[in-house]
Amino acid sequence: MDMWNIFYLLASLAFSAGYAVQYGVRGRIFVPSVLGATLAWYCLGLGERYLGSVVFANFLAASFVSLWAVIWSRRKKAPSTIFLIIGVLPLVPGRSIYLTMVALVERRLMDALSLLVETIGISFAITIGILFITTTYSLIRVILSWNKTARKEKIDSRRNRF
Amino acid sequence: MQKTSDGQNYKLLHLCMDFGTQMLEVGAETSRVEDSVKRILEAHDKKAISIFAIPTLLLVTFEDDEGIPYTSSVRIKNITSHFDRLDRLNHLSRTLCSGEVKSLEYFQEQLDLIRQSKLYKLPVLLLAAVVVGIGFSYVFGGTVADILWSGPIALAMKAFYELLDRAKLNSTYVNLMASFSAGFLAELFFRLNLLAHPSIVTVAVVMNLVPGMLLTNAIYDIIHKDFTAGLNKLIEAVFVAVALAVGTGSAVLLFR
Repeated sequence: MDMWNIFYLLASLAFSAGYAVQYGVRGRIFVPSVLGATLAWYCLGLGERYLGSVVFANFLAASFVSLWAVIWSRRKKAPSTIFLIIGVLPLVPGRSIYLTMVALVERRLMDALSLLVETIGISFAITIGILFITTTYSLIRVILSWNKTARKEKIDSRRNRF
Repeated sequence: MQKTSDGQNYKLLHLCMDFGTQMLEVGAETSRVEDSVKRILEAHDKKAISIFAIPTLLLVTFEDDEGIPYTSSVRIKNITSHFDRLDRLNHLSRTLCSGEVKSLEYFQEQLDLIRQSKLYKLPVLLLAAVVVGIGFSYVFGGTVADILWSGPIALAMKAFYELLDRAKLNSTYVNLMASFSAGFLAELFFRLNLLAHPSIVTVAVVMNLVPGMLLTNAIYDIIHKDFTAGLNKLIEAVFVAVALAVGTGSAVLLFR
């Protein structure tokens, strides 16, 4: 499937908007959450094409979505999970789950097993992607807050001297 | 004097319970609920605040100036996703925590206002499901017939899903039946030579049901060390995923 045509972009925007509506997103947070899901889908597609690994592509896409969620939750002062959930929806391995089941039904057990491993791998990749970025962000915030308290203590101690 | 402060404390407790319940019901992570309620109580100068939330229960306890404890609990029944309300609740908690507004009347007023805000109407939800189905069947590389037929199938599936969901049945059964109906219609239309790839159409339509919110919230809770809440959601996510697989799989099996 050619990613660089206008219909592909429109289709990705369409399903992202469909997700946003079904999850009751409206108003000022609508556009960033839809764009997040679309860009996540492109990340996934590009990762699959140039890295050749579905699992790693999912990791990258999930990391991107987490970063996107952190940035927009700060800008819009909205819960980051809204952007995160809408962005993660296209990544959820619905296709692998289905193909696993079809392989099982058709008694192709080895195929079913490898597809199952892929499904679990994708789920873990999404988990690690979110975990990695979210925790790094908390770490940065903690360090920044230390810095702030340290500066405040310094000022206070100076004040006490005089 | 004692009585009025007592009344105020109970009212605050009641409002916090309402706030927390609403937050859990619209799909907030438990850590966010605990944090928001704690901050609101801190803004009202309460001591010994302890909040416990899991997807099915909310417990709030605090002490007044004299050390008298106030506590209450709510059993949470149905969790949906309504992110517009979540955003507004989050905004309300920010306003209350900034310490500018301390009146309980304002809190009550805003909570009632938020509770009344509606989700999109059913036709819009159905249209959204159609758009998701069509969009995915295009990007999965379906033919024109696949793309066109995924619309009506998504419509039928979503209508069925909403019907079952509004009957307040368990999510596993609802997802099983809805995904089966999608798979069944796709396979049926394939036999009638209306579409070329039943697999693409089924997956595209079933992408409407994937448990993305449960999965993400489970991960988020586990990251924030709320293992009870995280496991609770993770188990539901796994059950929904298995339901989707079994639903579509049995449709394939039926037509072999």
